[in-house]
Amino acid sequence: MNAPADGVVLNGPPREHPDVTADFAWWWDGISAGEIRVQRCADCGVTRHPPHVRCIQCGSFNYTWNTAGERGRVYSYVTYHHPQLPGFTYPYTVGTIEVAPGIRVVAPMWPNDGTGISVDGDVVVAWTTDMSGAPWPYYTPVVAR
Amino acid sequence: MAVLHASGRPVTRRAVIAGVGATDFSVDSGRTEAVLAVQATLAALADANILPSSVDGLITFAADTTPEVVVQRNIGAQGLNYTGRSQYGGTDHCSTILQAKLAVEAGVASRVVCYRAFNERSGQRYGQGYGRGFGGTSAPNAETDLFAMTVPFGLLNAAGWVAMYAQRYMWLTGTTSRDLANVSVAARAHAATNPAARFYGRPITVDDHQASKLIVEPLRLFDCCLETDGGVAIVVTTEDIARNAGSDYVHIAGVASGSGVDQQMMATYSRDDSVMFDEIDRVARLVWERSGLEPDDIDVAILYDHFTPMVLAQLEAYGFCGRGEAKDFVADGNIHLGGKLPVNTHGGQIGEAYIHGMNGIAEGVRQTRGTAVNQIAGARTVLVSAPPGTPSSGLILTSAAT
Repeated sequence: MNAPADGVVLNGPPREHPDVTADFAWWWDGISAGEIRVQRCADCGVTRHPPHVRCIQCGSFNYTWNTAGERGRVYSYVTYHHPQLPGFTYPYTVGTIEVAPGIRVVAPMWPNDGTGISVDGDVVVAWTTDMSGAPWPYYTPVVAR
Repeated sequence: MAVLHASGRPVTRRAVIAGVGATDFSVDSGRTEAVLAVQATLAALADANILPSSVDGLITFAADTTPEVVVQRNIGAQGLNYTGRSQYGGTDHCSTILQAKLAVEAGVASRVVCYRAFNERSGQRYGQGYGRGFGGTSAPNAETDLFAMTVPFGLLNAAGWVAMYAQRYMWLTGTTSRDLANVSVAARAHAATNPAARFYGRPITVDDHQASKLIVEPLRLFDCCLETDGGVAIVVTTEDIARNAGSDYVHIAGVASGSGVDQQMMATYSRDDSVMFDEIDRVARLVWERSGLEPDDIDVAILYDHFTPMVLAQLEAYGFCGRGEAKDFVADGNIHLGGKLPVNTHGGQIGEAYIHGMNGIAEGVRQTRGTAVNQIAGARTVLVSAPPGTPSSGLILTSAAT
């Protein structure tokens, strides 16, 4: 239970990444590259998530991104049991993870039943693969050694 | 100089709610959403004693499938001067009344019907969640981009979006699942004596709630609203028209719709804890300001109960109790009939029906009129409010009786 089996796509049926516009494609390119990206204004440097098309601090439409560190903290999480949809394995757990101050990313979590996961708990990112073999992220509790 | 009636009374375009109507609430209506919308609209107009042919404004929800012009054709309205939509599905439901009031008081339209009708149980069930894109058929756009920040990771329905808030809220406030049960028990108690309710005659206990299956932890089945086929409509017109028609009308003391800081659709997890439900706080401030009323003035509250934790959030945001104290407020029995603040006296969307909040506005009108099945004696002032979302909205109704 330390990690999902190879080829298990969390959470739901095997699938490719969603169709998004150019405004968000760079974020999904990050997932494909095994990175959780955080948008950063190319002019004033402020970070924000979910992405904006315009910086509300300086007005710039230019942006770049940081790659989030591996560690995060659980803002909140939920464990799905019903309704049970085709292609999904239940239960499964989804978290909102604070990856940097004020930057919170929704992502799958493991263990799938939420065991050991708590609000404000420390977590670390790990990667499995989607149907095409591309990286797919999940967060799991940091276990005291 | 004010225009006067022959009687000497000034002509006023002050908007009032003149009628409410509904279809039956079921799990399989056996008819299309268009038929439900038309039937609910006609029922509301009959209640208001206003001729369908005279309707000149129609307002519904962005998510509704029956266009305004289809309702127009099928009620025999001659033409429309105003059409409008409130955002998404529920939680912005009071903005239908806001838009109608603005249209009526601006002189743009005079007889406006707000409606919401769907086969949400036998047709598209919202709780089943969304696929890769929202709606599935549209090209990628700014809306589907945002949904793609939650849905592909399995956070794919309202239960999940709200459960994410609920887990955080419960952690911050020490609220437990048994505390949430108190909200559900009250709703089911009220539904049990409402013949129009899905759960008429079927009250539950806290233990029943605790034994109900997990849906999306921390939410159990009995934390969730119903799935319903049905329609509800509300008539908004001027006070003069309502009075002349003999409508049993009620006043709109304050109505508001609002989004909050960094607003996203039902999943704004980027805020500081102090402004976690900023859109409810904003709407609460607006309806208190616009009405000149305060929590102690409210006789009955209709709080949007798609999921029990959000009833607690509304009790706090509207100032019926302190922050983090809603669990104690409901545990003390305040929200039951006979309590300090009876909540969702029709059974709410947990016990009566899920019509995206419109059946709650109808109950608010009935309580204000004094005609509800679970009537609170002497009720003259009713709050209708909404959870965080799409945006949020709120409405205060006051009696026109002297």
